[in-house]
Amino acid sequence: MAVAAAMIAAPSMAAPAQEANEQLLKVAFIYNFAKFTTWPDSVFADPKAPITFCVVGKHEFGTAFDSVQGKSVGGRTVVVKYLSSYRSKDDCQLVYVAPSEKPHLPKILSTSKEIHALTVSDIDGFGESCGIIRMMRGSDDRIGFEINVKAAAESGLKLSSKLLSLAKRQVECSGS
Amino acid sequence: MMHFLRNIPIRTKVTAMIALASTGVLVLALAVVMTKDYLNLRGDQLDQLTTLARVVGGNSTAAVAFDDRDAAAESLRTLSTTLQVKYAFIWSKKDSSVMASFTRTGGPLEQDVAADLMRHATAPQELRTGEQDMYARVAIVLDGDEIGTLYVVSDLSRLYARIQEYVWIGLGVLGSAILVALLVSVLFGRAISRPLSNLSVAMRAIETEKQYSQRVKKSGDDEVGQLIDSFNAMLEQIELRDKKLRAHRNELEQQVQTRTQELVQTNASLWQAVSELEDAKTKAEAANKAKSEFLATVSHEVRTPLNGVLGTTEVLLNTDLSERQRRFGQIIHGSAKTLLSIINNILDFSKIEAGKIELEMVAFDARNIVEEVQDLFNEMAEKKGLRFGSHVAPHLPRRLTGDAGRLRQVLTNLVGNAIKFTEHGEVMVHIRPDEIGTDSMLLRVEVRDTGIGVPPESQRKIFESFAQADQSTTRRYGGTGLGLAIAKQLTTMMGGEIGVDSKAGEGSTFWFTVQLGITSEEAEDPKRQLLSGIRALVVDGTSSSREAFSAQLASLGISSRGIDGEDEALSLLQLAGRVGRRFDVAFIDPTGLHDVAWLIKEICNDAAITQTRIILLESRLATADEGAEDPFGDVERLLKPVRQSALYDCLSTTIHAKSAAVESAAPATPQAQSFSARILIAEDNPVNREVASEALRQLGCQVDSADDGQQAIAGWEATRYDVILMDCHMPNMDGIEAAKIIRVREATEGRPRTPILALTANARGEDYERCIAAGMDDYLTKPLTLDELRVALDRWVGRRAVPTEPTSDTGVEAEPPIAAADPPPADVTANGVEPMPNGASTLPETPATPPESPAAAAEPQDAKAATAAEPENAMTAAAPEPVAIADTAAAAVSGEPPVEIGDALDKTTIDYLKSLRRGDGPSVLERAVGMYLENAPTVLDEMRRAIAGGDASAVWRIAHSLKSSSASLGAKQLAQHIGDMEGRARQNDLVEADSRLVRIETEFQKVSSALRETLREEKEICRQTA
Repeated sequence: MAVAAAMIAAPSMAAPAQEANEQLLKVAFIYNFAKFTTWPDSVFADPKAPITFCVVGKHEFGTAFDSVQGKSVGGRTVVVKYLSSYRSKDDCQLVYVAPSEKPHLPKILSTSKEIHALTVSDIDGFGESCGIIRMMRGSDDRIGFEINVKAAAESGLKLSSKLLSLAKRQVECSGS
Repeated sequence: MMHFLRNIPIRTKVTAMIALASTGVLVLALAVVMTKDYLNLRGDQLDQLTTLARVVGGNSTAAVAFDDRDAAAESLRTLSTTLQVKYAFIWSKKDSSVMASFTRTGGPLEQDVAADLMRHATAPQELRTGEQDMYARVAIVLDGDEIGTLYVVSDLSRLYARIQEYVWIGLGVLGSAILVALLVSVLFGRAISRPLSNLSVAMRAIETEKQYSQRVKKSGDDEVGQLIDSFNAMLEQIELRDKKLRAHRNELEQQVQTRTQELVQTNASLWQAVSELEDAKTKAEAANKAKSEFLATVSHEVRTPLNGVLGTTEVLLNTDLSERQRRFGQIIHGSAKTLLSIINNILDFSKIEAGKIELEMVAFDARNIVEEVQDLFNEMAEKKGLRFGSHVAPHLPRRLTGDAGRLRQVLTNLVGNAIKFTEHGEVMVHIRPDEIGTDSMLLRVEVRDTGIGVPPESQRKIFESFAQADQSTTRRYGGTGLGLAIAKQLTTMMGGEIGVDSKAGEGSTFWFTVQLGITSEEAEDPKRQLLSGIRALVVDGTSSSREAFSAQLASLGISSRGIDGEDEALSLLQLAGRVGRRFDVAFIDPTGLHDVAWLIKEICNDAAITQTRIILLESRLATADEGAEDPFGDVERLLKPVRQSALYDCLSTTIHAKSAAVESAAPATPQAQSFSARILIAEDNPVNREVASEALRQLGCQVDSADDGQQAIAGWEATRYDVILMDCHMPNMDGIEAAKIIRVREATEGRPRTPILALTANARGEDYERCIAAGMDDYLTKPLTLDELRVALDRWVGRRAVPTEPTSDTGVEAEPPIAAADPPPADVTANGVEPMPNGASTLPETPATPPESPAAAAEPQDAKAATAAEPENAMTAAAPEPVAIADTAAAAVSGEPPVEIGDALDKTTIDYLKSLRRGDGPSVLERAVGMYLENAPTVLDEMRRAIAGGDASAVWRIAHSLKSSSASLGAKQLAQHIGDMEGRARQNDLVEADSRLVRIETEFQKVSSALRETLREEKEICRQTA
């Protein structure tokens, strides 16, 4: 009980720090997703071409993405782009969809599918909307994620079985 | 170990060999297999563990990347199914913590185990195996980045179980192998060892029963079989030999029996022969002795009438006789003399044969004997025109002990023979020490002649009784032929040999050796010391005779220069005179020179060298014609050949001229002097006191005595004495102290001064100084002699002795040299020198002594002791050092060198003591000896106790007293030994005192028996004269 109380009390006492940590952890998750993902070779112009993370919409990460800027994934340097709106001509390999873009979700997802981008978001029902990975806080208050394997396969992406084994659950597109 | 191995039975050896070999092989094989298997198993397990860790590590990549602890724990759980994984954990790099762990027990992971493991496992992928566990460490890598690490620890229990299994199996196999080996060895071993043990048993049986007829049964044809064959063959040999031996022994036993019987017979006859021989020997000895005694008696009896014949014939020849009668008389006289000498020889010979000759032991100088023999034969040699001389080796010791008479007899015989058998040429006597030791020597005497010689075949025979070279010799030269036989017997008795080296016609050298003692080198004759300072020149035209004379001078310690012409002699003399090294004496032999008279004149005329004494060496032949005018005038002469004693005496006068230090006091009329003085003698030693008192009484004095200084003072108070004799060392109060007190009281009480003479045992200057410092007037050295006392009393009592002869100032004797043999008597008062009462006697200088003379420097003590003397008066009486006066006094009394009584006692002293006799009472000798013999043993006991107690001062005191009384009785040697002890004890040195005491006691035994003997003789004489 005391432990539980402490855990409840902790965020309220240090809310801003807790918030920043949460953002950093999410960025780390996103970065790791990229690592367990295999893109088709056609996506990259050459073997040395950078890998671009696109943050779409009004996001709450602040400077958290700076922590992965310049790091490498599969030998490619990570480049982070912030986009207020998303267009197909934008060359993105991983797209984070901020909750603000929920209304434009179908368009963003379809564009992403075309350009073989891995889509990640916090939006509820993202997977059911044919988004590939949705992050959420689980019952144990830890960050977890769910994966829509079919959507990934349709986008031409291969997700590692290790990643799959960690997913809280696997979802599928509902209806449309 | 090896010894033990050698002794165990062969069967055990074989068994042990097989068992050891099989065990060794098995253990080795098992060890190899086990090691190999262990290594394989361990490698396999390591591989498995590594592979497993890699798989689990790979599976955990995503879980670590997404920090999914559950997933990580899940992947670790897969480890539970395989191997012996004890625990495993994943370390996350991001969190730097253990993110998931697994333990086989299901409990939580212990933090320290994890930390320990991480510390050990540093490098990635490294595998570690500990003693119990095996580790694997795998890095968890994501996209090239190490995001975590997996550690897996497995235990090795399975491995150990496997090894244990092997060990059990190995032990099992080993056990059974040994069993099998034992079984095999028992079977085989029996096959090998049974024949051997059978053989051994058989051999032992034969050995104990001695049954060599037995044979051992053979079981096979192997080595053992051959051994048995050989053994059987050996047994056969032994049996055969036994039989032979038995036969031989029987034979021997018979032989021994026969021989024993023969021996018994021979023995019996031998015993008989021996007893017969013994009888015969006894009879023969008795007969021989009877014959010798008879001969001795007969010879003696014959001599008496023969002496009658000789005497009568001599008387007859002095009467008026016709020429014919005189010739007959001379023939009778000659024949009788020859007969007498023959009889004397026979008497000697028979005495020797009868063993009646005993050798004497007296001290003598061999030079004197040679000279005496020379004197004996000089005339005969001259008559025959022979040169006759002698040569004595300079290093021959002067004081020898032995039978001088017998030595003289042998030498006389040889020299007599040599002169008798030599027709022309020369006869020379050579004498020298052959082997010289510290206290004995072998004297070798050679008589060389140029006579007829002795043919080789006779050389040995002539020393046998009644033998001469041949019978014709006897006819021609006469003689009994007994002389050499006697000489041979005598030299043999004296521990020597006799022999001859000769060639017929060329002369012979007869030689003999005798063993003689050397008396401990007596204190050097002071005259001899002075002689050594003399510088002599020998002028002689013949080099051989010059050298011989120089050697003679050298034996007296005189160094000389030899020269062969008058001119050279003169220039040498003048040169020496100019440089201040004048020759003291020049010996001139005129025979080889041309103008001796000129030389003598020149010397006399040269003021620088006129002091040099000239002595002519003249042969007897030259002096024979008395009638002729003496060409050399009034010059001193010595007769050639020069006798050593004559030379010595002659030179002594030269010393007198050089120095006044040596003088022998020998008053002309010793017994005539009488002093009517009253004398006090203070002396603690009763023997000395007795002797001195008696001597003083002999000199007519009235004597009182005191035991110590206090008594002496008391005596001085009571009586007016003319002289006080005071011993320096006395108990209670010593003489020096007493003298001081007397002198002080004389001064304070106005009493007349009494002369006090110190008596001291030590002639050292320091004693003298102390005595004079204490106010004493003079000192006398113990032991006292009558003459010394007389001289002292003369000086201090004031009665004058009658002077004998005034002596020459220059010291050059105008009389013939023989007269110089008697030292010129002198007396201090004779020269008119008044004694000074106090200290004047310390005047040391004697200016008459030439400055270059070493004599004065050589004897400072003499110089110091010398009494006052006028400068130009060379002859003054002196108080010489004790030994000198004892000897010279002795010479004056007895007229010959001192003779020792059986070594222990000085005869002179004993004679002196005997002479101190008062009327019909017992002689001083008797009383003194009695006292001495009574006290000395007690004193020696005290000395022994003092030595044992380490009390050096007591030893000194006792020794001092005993030395003094021993010396008074003439026990010189004893006194010397005690003196040694005294000297050491005085310096607090008791080292070796025990051995010195033993010497003293041994000498004392000799002395006391000699004294008893002397007393006995004395009483005998008294009885006879009474």
